[in-house]
Amino acid sequence: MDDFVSGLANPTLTDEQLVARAKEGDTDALEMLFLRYRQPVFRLVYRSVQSVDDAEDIVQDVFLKAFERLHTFREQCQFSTWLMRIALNLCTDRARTQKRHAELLQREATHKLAWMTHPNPPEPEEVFQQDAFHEAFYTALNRLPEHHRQLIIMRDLEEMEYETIAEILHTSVGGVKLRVMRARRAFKALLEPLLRELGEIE
Amino acid sequence: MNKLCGQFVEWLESEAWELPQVWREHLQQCATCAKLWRQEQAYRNLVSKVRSEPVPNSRLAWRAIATRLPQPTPQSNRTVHLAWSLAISVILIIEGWWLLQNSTNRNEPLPAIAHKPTVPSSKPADTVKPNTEPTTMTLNLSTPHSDGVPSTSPSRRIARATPPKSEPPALTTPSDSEVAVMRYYRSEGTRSMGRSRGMERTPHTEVAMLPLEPIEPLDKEPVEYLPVQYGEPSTTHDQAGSPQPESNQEGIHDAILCSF
Repeated sequence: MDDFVSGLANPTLTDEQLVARAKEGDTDALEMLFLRYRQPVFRLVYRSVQSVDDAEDIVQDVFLKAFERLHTFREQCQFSTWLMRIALNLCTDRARTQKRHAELLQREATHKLAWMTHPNPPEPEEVFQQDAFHEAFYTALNRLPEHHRQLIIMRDLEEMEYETIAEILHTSVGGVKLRVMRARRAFKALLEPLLRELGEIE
Repeated sequence: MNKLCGQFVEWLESEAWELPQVWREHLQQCATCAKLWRQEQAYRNLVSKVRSEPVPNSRLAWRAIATRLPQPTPQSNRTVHLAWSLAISVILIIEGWWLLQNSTNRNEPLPAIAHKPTVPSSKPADTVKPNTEPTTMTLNLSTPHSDGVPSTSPSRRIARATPPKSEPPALTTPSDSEVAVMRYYRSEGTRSMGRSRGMERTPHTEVAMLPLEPIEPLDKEPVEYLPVQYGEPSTTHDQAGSPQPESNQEGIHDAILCSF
């Protein structure tokens, strides 16, 4: 039996082994890496762009870029971290190039389509309240600078560990904690009036 | 009071979820900190709601990636290709060098003899420049042991232009014999014209020797020639009316008479 087939059967094959095989030209190893990290990368990108189609495009670019430059990947960090860094960079590029109003229109259309195609649509009042909170959250989030936004997504939405964030951002854990604290302050300042409108706070 | 408020703000930013008894008592007494606590709770609830929203699954298929990926070239294959190309290059270089050496040995020319022709005394002295004397090259193509002796082997001989006594020593090194350098007489006017136009003409012309081909003799077998007798015109004998000598009569039978 081929060694790699046994490796596929065994899910404990590490990222390092898969990366090493992928560097040797093993397409199956690339596919395994893709299947392993497709959804985590998609989650992070989707949180950032809030659009399924845009997220799919970015995820595709992330894996293409990663696999094309796999020979430049040194084992100084984890493959997943390296992948997330590429994803965040592409999200930053997209945020710079795309205008904000276009994003809002896209998100609105996506939400409407998701509600129309939902198999068990919730009650209208509940939908309104949920949609209002969701809207307020992402409105404030999109007003944040990109470096603050990424930290809120990684830490508060994706609940990444500080060590992982520090590895992605090439900084220390203490530095990340400080940055997260600043990002939260800025985010709360933007969110407060919106929550007040919704009656969540006085 | 202010000190406690500062500590409470620090505690809020430490991501702690459980409110200790100390801060509960403080919140009952401090309205500012109580407001901060409510805002923090609202924020945490909102984040929790957004976080719990389902994220759709990615529909991206591996085919979409695989079709756009360049053909992978493994490092081991690259190394093998490099090694092969290097080996082939080395072999080609060695073979080329060997062929070059071989052809040079096969076409090695015979020694060339250079000598200076004597300048005729009738020529005016000013037409000959002392440092631009021409050098003519005569090629001695005969083998050393075949001088004056006909042999059945193909001998190549080019007549010498000057007698052997005036021969200078032959050039024996291959570099001397392979390329012969000839000088032309050039008038001073032509040279100055060339220089004035900025053209630098080389006074040398390199004559490369072509490989010598063996000359096959046409007559491999000795040919018997008919005797040739040179005599006086026949009209002399006819006019005198005297008979021709007998010794000559026999020779005439097989001879070709030449008369001038």
